[in-house]
Amino acid sequence: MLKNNFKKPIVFLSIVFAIFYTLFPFIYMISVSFKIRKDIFAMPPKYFNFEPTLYNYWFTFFDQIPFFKFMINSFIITSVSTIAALILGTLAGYSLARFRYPGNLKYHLSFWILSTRMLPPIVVVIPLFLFFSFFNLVNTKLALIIAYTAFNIPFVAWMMRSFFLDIPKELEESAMVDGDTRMGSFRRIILPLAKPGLAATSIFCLILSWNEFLFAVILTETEISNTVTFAIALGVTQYQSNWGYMAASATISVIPIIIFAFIVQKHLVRGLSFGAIKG
Amino acid sequence: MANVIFENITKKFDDVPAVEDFSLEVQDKEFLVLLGPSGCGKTTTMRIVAGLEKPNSGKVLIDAKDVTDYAPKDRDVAMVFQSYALYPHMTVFQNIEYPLKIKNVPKEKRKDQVLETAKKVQLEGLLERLPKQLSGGQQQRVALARVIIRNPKVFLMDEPLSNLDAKLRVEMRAKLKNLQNELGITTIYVTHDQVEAMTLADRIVVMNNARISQVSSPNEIYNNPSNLFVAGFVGSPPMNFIHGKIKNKNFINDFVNESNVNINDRNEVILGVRPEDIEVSHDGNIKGEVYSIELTGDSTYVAIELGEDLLIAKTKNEYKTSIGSPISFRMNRNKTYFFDSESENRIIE
Repeated sequence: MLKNNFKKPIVFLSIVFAIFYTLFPFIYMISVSFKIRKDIFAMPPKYFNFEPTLYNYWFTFFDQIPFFKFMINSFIITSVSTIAALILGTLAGYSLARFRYPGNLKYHLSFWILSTRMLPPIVVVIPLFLFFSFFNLVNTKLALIIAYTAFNIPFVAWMMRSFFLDIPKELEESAMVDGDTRMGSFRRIILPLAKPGLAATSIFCLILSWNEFLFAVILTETEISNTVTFAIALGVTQYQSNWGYMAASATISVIPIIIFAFIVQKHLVRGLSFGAIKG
Repeated sequence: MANVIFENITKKFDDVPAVEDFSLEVQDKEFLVLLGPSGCGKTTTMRIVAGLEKPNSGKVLIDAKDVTDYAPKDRDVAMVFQSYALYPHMTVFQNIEYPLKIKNVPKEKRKDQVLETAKKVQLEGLLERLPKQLSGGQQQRVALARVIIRNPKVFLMDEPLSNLDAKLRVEMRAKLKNLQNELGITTIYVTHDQVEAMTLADRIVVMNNARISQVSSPNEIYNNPSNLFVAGFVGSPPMNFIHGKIKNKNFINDFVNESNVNINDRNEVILGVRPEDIEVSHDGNIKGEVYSIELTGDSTYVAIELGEDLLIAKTKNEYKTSIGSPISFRMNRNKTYFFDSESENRIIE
């Protein structure tokens, strides 16, 4: 099937275009991160014929910007909010997939959960800022953790709901008749089967939280809670844009996500195509 | 060892009744079959015993204990699902072991019991496989092993044989009956297959439209149906029905005139007769036209057109006729049944 498809020139060209389209900015970013300032602005652009330098990486880690600290902040905020969103969202998704709700409540509840994602974040961020300042949470990691968790729960709930719907409900019914509790059958039977879904959902959550910029800019002020995205943006200053630094720090910031994607890769492909192919 | 008592069970889904006013006592060690067309409420009734559905009203008693409000795990019943519901991520061994693991049975004892049970259903060589690596029949046996190992008070089986091919189904039917007899565990079995019901059951409960139509032994159900539904549902091919009226102890319509019917005059009556009780012969008192002919090997079914009614007659294999030719036959008057067309209840002669 695949082999045949490659024989068709249009399909082949489309694939080449898609790969180029997605990877070019990424590769260009990496190449910029190894260039000195002069090469970055060279016209025509130097793609490979430049003298590589590690200066930008040295600058990222050892100049004034406490980049390492920002990385740690991002790690903490992203992992805690992802875990919290996964736990709460998975339980919500399970409930929506399995239980009977009175009247039309299930429909309204599902829609309401989704509707929280319909507003552009900029609409939410000002009230959220006032809310957090009222509780003295501005410029804390907790503020971002709460905000990201709240933002990710709807996503997790909807994703996991569809994964749970694909698991026959006889399985946990059988487990319950066999002597297990509802929670026990969920943990022992349903969760192991939903692993691919959890893997796919968790990586989406991680990416969303890790890459989030707007909330991070508005809800944080100092290195106590500043995140990686904020750190990258520090390259743009009043007097200049430090492209080398931004490319280097962006390249570094991508690495953790890639590592995680490799770890869950086995489940990821199944998770992403789950539901598409049944049986 | 336990009996199961249903007391006026009613279950509705969004105001649509699935089971209505269901009362019954299942005896200890009895093999009870719930039989009916799809959507008649038989599976819901079973799920109420398992605790997977809660009735809107009424009670379920297992072993004289009211379990209506008990969680499934506290009822000590074991269930075989139509889809088998084997846990796909566990091996055959782990699947069978699961109920014991939940009960915290020590590991060594668990292993012994799994091996012993696996032997009973001939799964010894397959214990390390995953369910998807098994054939349908083997999966079925795993599901069976998983309920046997529990030694529960009641077995519940929801169409357990419907996913097997015809030959295997006959084999497993015999195995089930034998196993139930050996273990002596009260069993409630749901099926829409009347042959399964007839062969397995001590008693059959025929259900229709959320209600019990008749509860009797297989023999009674077949030979003494109490209403039109049971008469038409049980038997293959089904019972023939002829519409007519009773006048002066005669059942009459445009084609039929059966005398000596011991029923008072009525206008709307249905006469029922099974295909094997119609005898095709040259001097038969009823005349019709051949509508179709079906050979089955050991016999031939002839469909006879009689005005609005179409009758099936079971004839000898060597019977020869052609579509459209005239045909005459008579009915075995000891085996005819009369039903009121309005209430659909049997009218006893």
